[in-house]
Amino acid sequence: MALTIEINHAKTRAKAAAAGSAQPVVPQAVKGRIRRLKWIILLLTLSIYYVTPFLRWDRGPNAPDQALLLDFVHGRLYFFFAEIWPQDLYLVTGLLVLASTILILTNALAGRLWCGFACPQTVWSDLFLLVERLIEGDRRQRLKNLDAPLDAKRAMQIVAKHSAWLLISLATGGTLIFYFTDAPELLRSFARGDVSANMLGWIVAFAGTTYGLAGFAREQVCTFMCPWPRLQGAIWDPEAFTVNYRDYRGEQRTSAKKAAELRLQGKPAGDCVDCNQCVTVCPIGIDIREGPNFACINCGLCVDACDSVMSKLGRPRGLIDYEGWNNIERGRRAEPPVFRLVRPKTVGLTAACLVLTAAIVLSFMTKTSATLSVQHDRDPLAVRLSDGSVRNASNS
Amino acid sequence: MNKSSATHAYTLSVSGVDAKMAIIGNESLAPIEVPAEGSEAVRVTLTAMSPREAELVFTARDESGTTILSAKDRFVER
Repeated sequence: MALTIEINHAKTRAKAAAAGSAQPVVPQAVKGRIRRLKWIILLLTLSIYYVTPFLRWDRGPNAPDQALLLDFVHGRLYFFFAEIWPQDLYLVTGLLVLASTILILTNALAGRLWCGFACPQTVWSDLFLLVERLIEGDRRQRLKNLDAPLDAKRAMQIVAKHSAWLLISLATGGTLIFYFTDAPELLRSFARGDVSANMLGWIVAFAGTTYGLAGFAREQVCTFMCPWPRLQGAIWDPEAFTVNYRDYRGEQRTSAKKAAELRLQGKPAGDCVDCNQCVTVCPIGIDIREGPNFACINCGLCVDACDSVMSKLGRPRGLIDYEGWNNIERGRRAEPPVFRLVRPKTVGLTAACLVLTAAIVLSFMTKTSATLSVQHDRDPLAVRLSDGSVRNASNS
Repeated sequence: MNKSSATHAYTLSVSGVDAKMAIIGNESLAPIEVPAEGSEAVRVTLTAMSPREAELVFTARDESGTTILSAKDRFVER
């Protein structure tokens, strides 16, 4: 059932997009504990991104003092105490493999948690949406704007929004190149107006991708461009804490008034009042009530929206919640939920992460500041001399 | 290859085979200076009077420290 819904959803959106009739996703603002957590993570991740190039690390004379520097000119990667040469690139490969394994482990525990909270696409889209909201208003006003004639006020809003987006994009693109050269020196040269065409080209390229992906493509990136949702069909875990709708509690949907009447009569009534808040706040534009969806980034904004409605109606929160799909199915059978964090998949992935970490740490600790290599002559491998002795030659 | 930010000198030696080692252009087998963040290549010959196939280990000992680098090779008869 779950997989069918995923495929149908993808097909519907893809067809609508191809026909040019797809409605733009205009998410509504929402307040709640998950939204607050997302704001904190947004601030934290953006701060890390913008501040890191300016952190200093003393490596002694004749070495750059930038804590994180990808020095392509000299073929070095500096990361605080670590200095990676091209010959040590296996360490970086190891770190990438470790990061992928952690991502898969996270997926097994809590689905696309990375996507919903810390992925740059999500963080910058959230930031761009915040700007859009501040300038153009919340969802209702922005939807009105879609069909509104272009007057002076609307033109001002459009100019203001795109100017702000461009400023953020330029700051993002500009910051990215700080990672490749001495950041304070580059900032000073920017202040002097001394920017080479090469630098300008890279800034424009990175700013352009930020502007395009966070300003316009947004959820399309998460649904159609990113490979991670494509893999969900293979690695989706029914026991992972993903955002799910407790349909056994919510159905049959009915209005709040009707539900209250039914309950007074002692008849069953679903908690879902079909207010559609979960859909209007979704940055992807999906209806989580239809079932698990590979496009869902697990951001939990629908949880906040639904909790807020449930609180107002005096019903228990958690109609939409982080819950394993297996527990939704158990709930339908009126069975108590089962939480199994320790299971073969999570144990195996945790073990893999630990082994990889140990291997990387060991490789790094035993890494020397010099290397010796020997290349034996290939042709001839050996030469017999006139006195009967044999000579081998090599380059060291 | 010397990845450090100071020049180091290394003495090259070989073990595992009964052969005379020679470094072309450095008959006295003097320590080889490798510049900071740089590399140095030398051509080495091993001549054995009673040759036999054997695993051998080249060792470069840092004259100014305790670093000992090694690399494996194989001595062949033909």
